[in-house]
Amino acid sequence: MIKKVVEMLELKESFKKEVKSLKDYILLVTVDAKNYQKTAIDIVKFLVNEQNIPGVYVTLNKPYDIMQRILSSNNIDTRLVIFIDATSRTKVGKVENCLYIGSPEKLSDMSVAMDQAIKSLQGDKFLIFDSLNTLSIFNKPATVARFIHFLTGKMREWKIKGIIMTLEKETEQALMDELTQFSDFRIDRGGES
Amino acid sequence: MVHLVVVSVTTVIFGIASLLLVSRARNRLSEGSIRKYMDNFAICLAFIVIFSVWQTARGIVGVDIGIEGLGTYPEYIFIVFAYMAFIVASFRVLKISEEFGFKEDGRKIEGIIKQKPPIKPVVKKAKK
Repeated sequence: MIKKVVEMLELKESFKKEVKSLKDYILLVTVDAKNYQKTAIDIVKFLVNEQNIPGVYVTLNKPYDIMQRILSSNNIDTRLVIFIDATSRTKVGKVENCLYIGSPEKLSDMSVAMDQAIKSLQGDKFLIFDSLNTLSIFNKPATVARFIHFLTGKMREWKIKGIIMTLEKETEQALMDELTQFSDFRIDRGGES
Repeated sequence: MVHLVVVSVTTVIFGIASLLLVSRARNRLSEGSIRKYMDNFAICLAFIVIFSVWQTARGIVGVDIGIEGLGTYPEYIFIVFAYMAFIVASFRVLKISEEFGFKEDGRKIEGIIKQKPPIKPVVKKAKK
């Protein structure tokens, strides 16, 4: 228990230390499965509650309803977040502050949605991409590599705080190296399996 | 007459070139709303190109093809179809704007941020 708390505090501290003063950056967060949800919550909490920044959360893991419930139960103001849900295959279209893409394979739609959502926000903003390893399950490695190259390029163009999350052990090493090269910082929350 | 033929042939070339470009663009996109819109757009374009090809061929060969009950110029049927396809394409654009339009959400978020009190920077007290 104590170890976990220490780990989370370490994450918070390293995250704050690395990015607090920066206006725009690309951050790669590699996590192990156990810490995944907590890490995602902490990042959103830091950006929304502590820095008061609106943003876009692209979820490929959990549906919008669940994500919203989890974030709300952690006292995160979800009204400041636009969700892009690529997990729910049954729903397509917009509900409240979420756009259901319909499938993680619809990368063109996802790109347009991210572009439009980011451009609708004023001032400082963030984009969390959750997660790269899930994208790899549904798409060919070459397509994922191209998409990530596009995404990091766009993050630079949009001048936002971009966070790409991935499960370290599930991500191809070549893709990881490339992504590390594109990003400004990398935070590892590997831990033991 | 020669001028008309040149204009018609040029139109057909432009039309076919546009179809090829749309086809290339479509192949790059993954499944989804944008690709569906492109399909609709390609259908509109195809009808217009067929109309132009028909008209050009008629102009060059000089043959009037008249189908009973359809009037003097049956190629105009393709223009009618093209406009029908345009309606479908425009409807799809409307749907896309409903899906991907976040302007209103952006405005709402801006309002919420303005209502919130500004975050005070944490000032650490110096140790005495």
